[in-house]
Amino acid sequence: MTRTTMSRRILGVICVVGIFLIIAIGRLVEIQVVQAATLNEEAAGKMSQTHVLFGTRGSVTDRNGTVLAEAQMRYNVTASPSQSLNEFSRTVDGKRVSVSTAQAATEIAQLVGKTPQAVIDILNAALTEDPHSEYAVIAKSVDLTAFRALDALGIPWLYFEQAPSRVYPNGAVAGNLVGFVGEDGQALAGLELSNEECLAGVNGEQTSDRSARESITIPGSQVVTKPAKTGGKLTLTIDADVQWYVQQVLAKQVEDQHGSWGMAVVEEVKTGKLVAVADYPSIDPNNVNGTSENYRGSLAFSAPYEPGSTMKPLTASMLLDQGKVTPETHVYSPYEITHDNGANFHDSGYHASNLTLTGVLVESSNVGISQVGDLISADKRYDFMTKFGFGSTSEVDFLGESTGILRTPDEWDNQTFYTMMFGQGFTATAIQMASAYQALGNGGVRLPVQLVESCTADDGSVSKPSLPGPVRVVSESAARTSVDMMENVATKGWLRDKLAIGGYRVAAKTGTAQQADGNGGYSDSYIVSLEGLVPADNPQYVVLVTIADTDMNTTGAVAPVFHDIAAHVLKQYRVQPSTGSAPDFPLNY
Amino acid sequence: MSNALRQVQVSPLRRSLTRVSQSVSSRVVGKKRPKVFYATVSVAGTVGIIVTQIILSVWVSSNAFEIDELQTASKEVTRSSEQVQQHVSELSSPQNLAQTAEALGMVSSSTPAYLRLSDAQVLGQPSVASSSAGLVAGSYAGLVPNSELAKWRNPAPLTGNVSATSVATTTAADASVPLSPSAGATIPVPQTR
Repeated sequence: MTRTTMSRRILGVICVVGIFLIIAIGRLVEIQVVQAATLNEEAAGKMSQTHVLFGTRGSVTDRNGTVLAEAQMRYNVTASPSQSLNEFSRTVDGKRVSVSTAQAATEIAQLVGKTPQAVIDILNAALTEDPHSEYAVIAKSVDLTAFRALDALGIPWLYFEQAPSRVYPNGAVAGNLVGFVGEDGQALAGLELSNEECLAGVNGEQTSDRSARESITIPGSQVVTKPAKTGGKLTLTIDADVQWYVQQVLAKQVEDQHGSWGMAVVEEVKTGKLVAVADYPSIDPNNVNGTSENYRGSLAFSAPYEPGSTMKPLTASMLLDQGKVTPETHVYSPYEITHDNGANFHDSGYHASNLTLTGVLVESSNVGISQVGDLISADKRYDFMTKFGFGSTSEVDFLGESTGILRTPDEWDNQTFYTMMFGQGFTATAIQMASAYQALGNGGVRLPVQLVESCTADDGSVSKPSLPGPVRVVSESAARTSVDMMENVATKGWLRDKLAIGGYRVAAKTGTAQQADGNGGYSDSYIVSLEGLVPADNPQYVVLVTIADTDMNTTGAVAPVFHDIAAHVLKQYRVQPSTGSAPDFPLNY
Repeated sequence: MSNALRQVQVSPLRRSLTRVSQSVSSRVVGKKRPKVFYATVSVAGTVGIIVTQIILSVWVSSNAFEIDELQTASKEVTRSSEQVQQHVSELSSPQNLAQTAEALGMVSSSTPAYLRLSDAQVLGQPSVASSSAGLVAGSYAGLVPNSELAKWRNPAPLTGNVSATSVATTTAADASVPLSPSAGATIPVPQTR
C-alpha cells in the first residue's frame, strides 16, 4: 500500500462522512427552519385544543329590572350514526343491561319531543348518504333540563354542542317591542335588532393542552388568545306588570268584540316615557312561528291610521292658543254642512245644533269643529300639527316605525282642508297620538317619546339615548282649557258611566274613524279609539286604546278597556285621588 | 467535612514554609479528597433534583385530575342553579302570577282609596272588588302567551338521577305548604285588642 492509496482512502472516508454530514445538516435545516411552522402547528393540533369563550349577549329589562330577554345556554343534540348501529350496555340497579338502538332512540325521542321513528329516520338518512357518517343533528337548542336528562342516559354515540340562545321569561309581555333573535344568535326584530350595539357580545377563544387519554386539561396550559366581550344590559321605560295588564285587557276585549286588531299605549305625561305599548295580536318571542308575520312587530309604531275625532281636542287647543275661541264660544252645528269651497260632510248622529265649543267636543260634531277650525290658516294648522309630532317618526325611532302621512297644505284638497280638523285625511300612529295628548297634559309642552331608558355596559358605564329638547306646541292655558273640555266629554258624554273612575277625574275623547277600503273610498267598519289623560286635575298618564272592526262598531267597545287601564295605572303608581270637581262648561247656547 | 476543614487550616502554613517544593505534594493531597466530595455532592444533587422533579410533576398531574373533577362538579352545580333560576323567573312571570292568584280565588281590586293619617280623611272612593273581575279565566288565559311557562306546566317526562331529585324536592315543598285555604282547614283569625 503506497502513501497515495492510503491518503486516497482517508480522503474517500472523509468524503462519505462529509456527504452524510451535509445530508444530516440539510435535513436538520429543513425540519428546524423550513417546516418548523407547519410541524409546530401539527404538534399543537394534536396536543392542544381551542375552544370558544362565549361572549354573552346582554339582557333586556323593564324599568324595575324584570328580565324581558336574556341569554341562556342551550344544547344541540348530535349523534354518530355509524356508532349508533352498535348496542351498548349500561348498569341498571347493579346489573349490566344491553341497550338496543331502538330503545335508545325511544329514550332520546321522549326528551327532545320527537317520535322514536323520527329519531331513527334521522340516523338512517345520515347512514344512507354516508355509511360511515359520524355526525347527524337529532335536535337543536334543547334546554338545560332536557340536556341533563339526555346526558344522564349515558348513550355513547350521543354528543352535545353548546348553542347560546335567547329566552324571554315573560313570553309575549312586551314581545312586540323586544323583538327576537334567530337560531344563529343574530337579532332579527324589535329592540333586539335596533340596539344590537348595546346588547351584542363578542365570542373569544381559549387554547389549552390536554392529556391524550382522559382529555384532562394540563394545568397552566390555558391561554386566552382572545378575550370574550359580554354585551350590555338594555333597560326600557316599560313596566312589565302594567304592560302585561294592558295586553291582557286589550286582548280580552278584541276577542270579545271579534275585532281584527287592537293597540293600547300608556305614556307618562311629565317625562314622555312609555309605560306600556300593547298590540294584539302580538308575538311570543319564544315561539316566533306561532304568530303571523304581520303581527311580529308593534302596530302602535308601524301601523298609522286615520285617528278620527281624537284629533278634535288638538284642533281646539290650536284655536285656543291663537285666541280664536273659548270653551263657551257659540258654534252653529247642523247635522250636515256644505262649505263655500264645496266640501261636504255630516255628523255621525243627530244632536241639537246650538252647541258651544265644549258641546262640539261632547257631541263629537264634525260640522261644529269645521265651523271654527278655519279661523286659523292651513299653514298655521300644519305648523301646529308638526309640532305635535305628526308627519315624522317619534324620538324612539322604533324599527319600522312609520311617519304617518301628513301632506303639506298646498296638497290639501277642499275636502281635506276641513276633514283634517276631525282626524280624517291624514294618518298617525298610536304613538304619535299619545305624544300629542302628552303635550296637552303637560301644559302644552311636548316631550320626546322615550322607550329605552339606558344601556349599561359590562364595565358598568351607563349611556342614555340622546333625545332632543322639549317643544312648546300651544300655550299653557290653551292646553289646560283643552283638558278641561275633554273632562266635560268624560262627565257629560254618552260614555260617562263607563269612563267614571271612583275618586279620580278623567279627561277623554272618543274617535270613530272610517277605514280606507283600499279602493279610494271608505269601508263601513270603523277603527274605534278612546284617548285621555288621568287624573284630569293634574295629568300624569296618557292612555290610548284603539280597536279595529268591533261588533259594536262604536267607541263603546273601547271605553271599558280605557277605564280598566286608567284605573289600573292610577292604582299601580299610587296616584293621589283627585281633589275639586270637574269644570262645568255649558254645552248649548 | 472534618477533613476539608483541616485541609483549609493546614495549607496556608505549608505554603508559607516551603512554597516551591511542597506545593506539588500539597496539591496532590488536597485534590484527591475534594474530588470524592464534589462528585458525591453533585451526584446527590442531580439525583435530588430529578426525584423532586418527579415528585412535583406527579403531584401536579394528580392535581390536574382533581381540578378536572372539581371543575366538572362545579359545572354541574352551576347548571342546577341555572335550572332553578330559569324555573323561578318563568314562574314569576305575570301570566303565571295572575293565573295562580285567580285560581286561589283572588280578584283584582277596583278603585283604591287612601286614608290620610293627619286628618283621618278618606281619599278616593273605596268600593268592593267584584268577583266577576276575573281577567285570565278560561279561554282568556292564553291571550298573552308564554311558551316558556307552558313548558314548566307540562314538563317533558324526565329520567336520570338529576331529574329524580328535582321531582322529589318539588313534591316535598308542595306537601309542606298548603297552597289554597281549602287544602288546610280554616284561615286563623288574627287576635286584635
